[in-house]
Amino acid sequence: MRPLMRLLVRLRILALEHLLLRGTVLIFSAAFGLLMGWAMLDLPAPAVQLAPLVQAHIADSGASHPVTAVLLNFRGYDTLLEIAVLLLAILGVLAARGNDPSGEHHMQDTPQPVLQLMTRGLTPLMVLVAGYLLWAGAFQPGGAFQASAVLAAGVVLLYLAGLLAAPPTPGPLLRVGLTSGFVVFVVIAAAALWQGALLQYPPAWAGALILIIEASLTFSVALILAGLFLWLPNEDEEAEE
Amino acid sequence: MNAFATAFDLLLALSLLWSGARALTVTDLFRAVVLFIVFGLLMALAWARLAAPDIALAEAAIGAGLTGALLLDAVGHMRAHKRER
Amino acid sequence: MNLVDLFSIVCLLVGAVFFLTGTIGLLRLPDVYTRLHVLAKVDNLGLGFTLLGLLPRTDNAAQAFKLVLVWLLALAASATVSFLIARRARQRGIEPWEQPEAPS
Repeated sequence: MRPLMRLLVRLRILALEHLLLRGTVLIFSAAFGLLMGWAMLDLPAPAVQLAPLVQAHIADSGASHPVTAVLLNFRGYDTLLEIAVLLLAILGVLAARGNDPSGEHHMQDTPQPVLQLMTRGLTPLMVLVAGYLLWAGAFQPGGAFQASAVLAAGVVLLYLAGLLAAPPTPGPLLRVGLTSGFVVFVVIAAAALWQGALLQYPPAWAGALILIIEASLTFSVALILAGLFLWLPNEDEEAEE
Repeated sequence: MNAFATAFDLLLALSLLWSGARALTVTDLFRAVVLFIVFGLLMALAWARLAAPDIALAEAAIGAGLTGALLLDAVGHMRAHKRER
Repeated sequence: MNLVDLFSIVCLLVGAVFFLTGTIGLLRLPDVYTRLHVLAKVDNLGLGFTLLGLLPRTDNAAQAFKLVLVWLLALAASATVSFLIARRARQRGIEPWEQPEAPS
């Protein structure tokens, strides 16, 4: 009888501890959230007004939409490093997968006709929308990342419908495609170095340079995002080793 | 019409908090992923309300589309692995 | 308030009513097939009315065309996805809900 009572007491104390822990975390998160909200509403006006500064120089930047101008011209270095981070992510995924090109292309096993018909109709439209978003990024909301997200979603849809067989690891051509965005960006940034400072595009060519960079970024970021889905290490395949 | 805008913003903020909390506390993993996709779409709405349409586009495509597909793929793999045992 | 604004408001209200009906159906209907039925039909009709109400407020024909394209794509996507979900539910053996026998 006594061991049973002891066990019950111990269990009840554990449950109480669990509840106390949850309650404390909840109270702290609520307090933090409220303090953040209060701080957001209480912010003083910023000392430097950036928006008029951007608007003043937007004619030299090569894009008439301020977000694109900031992303690819005024703060182009940040975008360059972001692309490097994305490239590192896909390299990490590929490293976890291993480099065995002898495996077979994997494809969805039960293809479904309705989904395939839908995908066949939608894919050209997705490519068109991606191209439109890329082009429109210069003067209205859009840009390279949004276009590449749509393209990557199209590739994933093709794979899930059973219309695209994904290779086990990317071959040489796919690897060139994965890295081409970053390489083009670095080459153009370095070429501007010869002229002045890093990433300082000459204003006469800024529009064309931004378009070239954005186009190659769209292509390779779409491949990177789709690759994150297609080349995720598969537990079923690893179990065979 | 400012009262409507404030009411809409408040409703959006509350549903963001609610769907986020439910995504973390629900026990079925599939439901958690679905709630995460819902959270992503509501977040895209929030970005649009904050006058940042670029981020709204990116959030809708990547957060709700690609990350949702990745998480669903992961849940499917986990289920298959559990069934094999 | 001229006629065009009135038309816009009426269409948006009708669209909102359809969405409300669709949500009530989603929460109250008994099984997955009936819920899919509601979502595919009522919600798309609500979307159509909402976009119809927004059409007079666009600036040019290109924007109006994009809105109609959004509606067509939503129709196609929801039809395909409803079919896939229903097929998967059938494969998993979920039987359609039958009206329970009235107690005699």
